[in-house]
Amino acid sequence: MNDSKETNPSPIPLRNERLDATLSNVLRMGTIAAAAIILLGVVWSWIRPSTGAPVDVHRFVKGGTEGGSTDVFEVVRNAFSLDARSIVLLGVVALLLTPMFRVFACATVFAVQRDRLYTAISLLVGVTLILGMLGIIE
Amino acid sequence: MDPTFSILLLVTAIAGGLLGSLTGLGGGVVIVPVLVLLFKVDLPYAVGASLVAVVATSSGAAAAFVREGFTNVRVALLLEIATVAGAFAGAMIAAVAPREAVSIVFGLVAIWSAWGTLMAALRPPLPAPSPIPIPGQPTLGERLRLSSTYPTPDGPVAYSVSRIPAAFITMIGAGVLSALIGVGSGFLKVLAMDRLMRLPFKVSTTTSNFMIGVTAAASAGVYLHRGQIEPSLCGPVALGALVGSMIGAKLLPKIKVKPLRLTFAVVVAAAGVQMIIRGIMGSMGGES
Repeated sequence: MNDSKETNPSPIPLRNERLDATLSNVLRMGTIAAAAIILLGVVWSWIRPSTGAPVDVHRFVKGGTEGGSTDVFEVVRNAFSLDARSIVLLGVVALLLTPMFRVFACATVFAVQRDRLYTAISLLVGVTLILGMLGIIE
Repeated sequence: MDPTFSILLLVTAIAGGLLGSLTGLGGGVVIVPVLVLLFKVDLPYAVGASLVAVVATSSGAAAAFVREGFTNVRVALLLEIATVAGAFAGAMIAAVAPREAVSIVFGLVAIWSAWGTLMAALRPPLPAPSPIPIPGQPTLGERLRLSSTYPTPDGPVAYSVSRIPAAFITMIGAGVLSALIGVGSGFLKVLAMDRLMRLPFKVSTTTSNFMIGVTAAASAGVYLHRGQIEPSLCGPVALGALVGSMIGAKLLPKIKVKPLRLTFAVVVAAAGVQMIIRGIMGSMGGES
């Protein structure tokens, strides 16, 4: 599959079926898990609304803290203390992590297939995404 | 979170996701104006919610497409370097750009993609590109091993990839737009892959969809830290858009989309005009 110059003189590589199947699974499971957490949070918010002042969606204030913490680790902590807003936010974080996991899944499959160029490209994209997610790029 | 507001958002997002997937215009170009014009949501929150919905629909659809073997994962990864860099640049521009300007840019892009959809529906598609003969010197596409095959009823057909630098630069622009106005900018991505790289059309659309999730997740991650990802909006909107796009994918082979596409393109263009007027009125100091 990994096109080696000795056995495959044609520049056209075959389909990478293993990669396709892995990526499909990562994307499907990530999306389902994230959607389930979001649904749980939305329904929970009707049963037991989050305490604190509601956010005015009609007016966004730069640097406003009314929406609570957006620190990824704190969101996870608050979600486990059953705060409805944080559960939805946890689901959103899971949703945003799905394409990132997909990129790292690419890196892994390419690494196993000893495709150095595309392992490096996948890692470059993946690491940049993680930096953005952690708030390092602002 | 007010249950009535959530359910209203959910139902609207289902309709948006359904129409976006049936017409190929995507979710973002629908969700942003609906939130801003109908629900009176402030633009930064609307952009954040739209990007989250775009990630959801892209990942859901890509899971199915990538298994069918149309998606060119290498092309996607290479161009994601450009779209992610563009998305971060766009997020930085969004931090300083006035809302009125963003509103006007959104309107222009909405009209542009509606026009593109109209033209594509009225004109026959370009013939499938024939494989380019292999010259003595390996092309950039060959050196990067981007050439691949795609399934057809008569077995796999090989294709090669051309004009990579031009497509790469276009993708930086697609990333900037995606972050700034909260859309997947699939229209621009398909344009670059179809017209510049000369990929087969189904490869262009599925690879574009595949890339959209990563592009939108990049800027949504930044907006999370700016407080633009509001759970009471993002939750119902993401769920609704996901459900709507799944229904759309099931319906797509069974219905005639052309009349729907034409009608919807006009609606999107009208929403675009509204967003431009809003931006101009706002910048003149009027109530917006």
